Amino acid sequence: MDKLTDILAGRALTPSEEAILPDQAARTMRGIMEHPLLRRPDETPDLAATNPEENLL
Amino acid sequence: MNAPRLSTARTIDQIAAARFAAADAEAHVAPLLDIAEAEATIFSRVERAEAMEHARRLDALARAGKSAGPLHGVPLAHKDMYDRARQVTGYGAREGAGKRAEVTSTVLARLDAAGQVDMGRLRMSEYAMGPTGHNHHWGIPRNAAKPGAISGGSSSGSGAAVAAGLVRAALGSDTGGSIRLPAACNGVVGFKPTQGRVPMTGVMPLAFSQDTVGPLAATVAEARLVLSVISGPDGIDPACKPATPIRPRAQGLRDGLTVGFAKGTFLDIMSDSMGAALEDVRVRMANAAMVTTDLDLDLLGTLGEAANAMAMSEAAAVHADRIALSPESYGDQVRTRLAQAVAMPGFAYVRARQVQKLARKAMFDRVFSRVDVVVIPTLFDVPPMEAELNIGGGQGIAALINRLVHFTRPINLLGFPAISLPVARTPEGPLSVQIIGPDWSEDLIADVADWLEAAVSPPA
Repeated sequence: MDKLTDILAGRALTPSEEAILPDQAARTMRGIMEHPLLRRPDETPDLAATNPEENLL
Repeated sequence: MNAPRLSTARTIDQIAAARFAAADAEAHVAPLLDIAEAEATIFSRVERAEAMEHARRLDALARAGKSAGPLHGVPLAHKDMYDRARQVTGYGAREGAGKRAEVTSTVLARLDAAGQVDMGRLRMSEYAMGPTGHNHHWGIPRNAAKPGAISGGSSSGSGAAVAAGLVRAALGSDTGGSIRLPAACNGVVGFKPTQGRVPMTGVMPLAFSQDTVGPLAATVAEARLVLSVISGPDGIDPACKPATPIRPRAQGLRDGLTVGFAKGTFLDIMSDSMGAALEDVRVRMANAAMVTTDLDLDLLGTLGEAANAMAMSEAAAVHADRIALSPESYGDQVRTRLAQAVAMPGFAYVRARQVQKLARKAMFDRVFSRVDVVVIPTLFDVPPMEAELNIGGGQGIAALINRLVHFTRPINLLGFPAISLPVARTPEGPLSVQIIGPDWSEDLIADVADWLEAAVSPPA
């Protein structure tokens, strides 16, 4: 379990894996956190909530 | 090698009819198995003994005047991620990393009951992660439609096997385009069903919110027939929904069908030749009295990261214990992609699910209230050459994957069914489009695809 803890803490990554994280974080921000369906740049963000149980396809 | 195209001379229907009339396990199945065993880039394991035993049982049944079903005696194969009792499911992983299954997956059991002769297991991207078809451990299947090009992935061997004429249809799986991309790269048909149409019981999980299984096949009719056999709840997979069964055969299109075509930035990465193929499809549809209309589908181009965050977070959950125990058993690209999940915190996953819900609502409100189906490219161009895209887990892998799955991944997030079929065969390779409809519209999109396939095919 120690290794899994390291993974969760981001300590078990190789240098090349670590190198992608800043780019991925930027894409997560741009592609999800700031997604236009959730908010517009000129608005104060609404509180966001979702219930996974309602996420029925 | 250039394998003889033994199975391609006849469609599934013709094979089933012929085998019902005349036993030919030795004459037909045995030589096909010989050829399959020589195709090491395509088959990961040929199940010769089991296939011959099953074929002989089917021959005996036919001699008694009985048929097992619509696939009686038809040789099929499957991506190496479907369990069969007492066999090892390999996952496209390193030697020894698979598992010995105790129970046969629902879809294989259904194909068996319908009379298939299961030839065995096909190559795939490692753990079904990788749209090019490259596999760190096993290489890349040959592409018979465009030698030297990528096979596409992750159902790489499935697309390659159909294109090489080894089988008429093969099972794949699709979480971000993994049926449709290899179908497009190999110039064959790929049918991704609605999320929840086919039970996942006994199928390797990748990302539960977007995983689907379905066929790649030589023709639309054959893809549809196979999908009709494997669909429907099995009483085990709770995510598989009861829905009107898929018709095994096509029927004519109703008058006034409306078809949407994208206009806007969503198509910016499309090549000129892909654009010309798409326009040709639109002209043919308009000439056949379908109503074609422009749609703003730029929303689709914004959904990639939400789809990726959900898929990689779910995949990381699947693999966390195993990768902690033996990280060295994973290839570079899979490790790098799973590592992305470290930069995807739980609140981003929740937001991604929220984007998913809102995007589905927007598609119903803005698109499927106006049109019956949508037509978009499957891939931005003809399949690229494999040497150009063999970058392992290096920098640039995210950008490369985003480009390849630009037209497919959003559809997985939305859960809609989509069928990919080739509409042009150029000297540079095949060009394919997807026909997409709302949930449970497999019959409609298959009918449209059936029509389109005939419309673009040169007369025999």
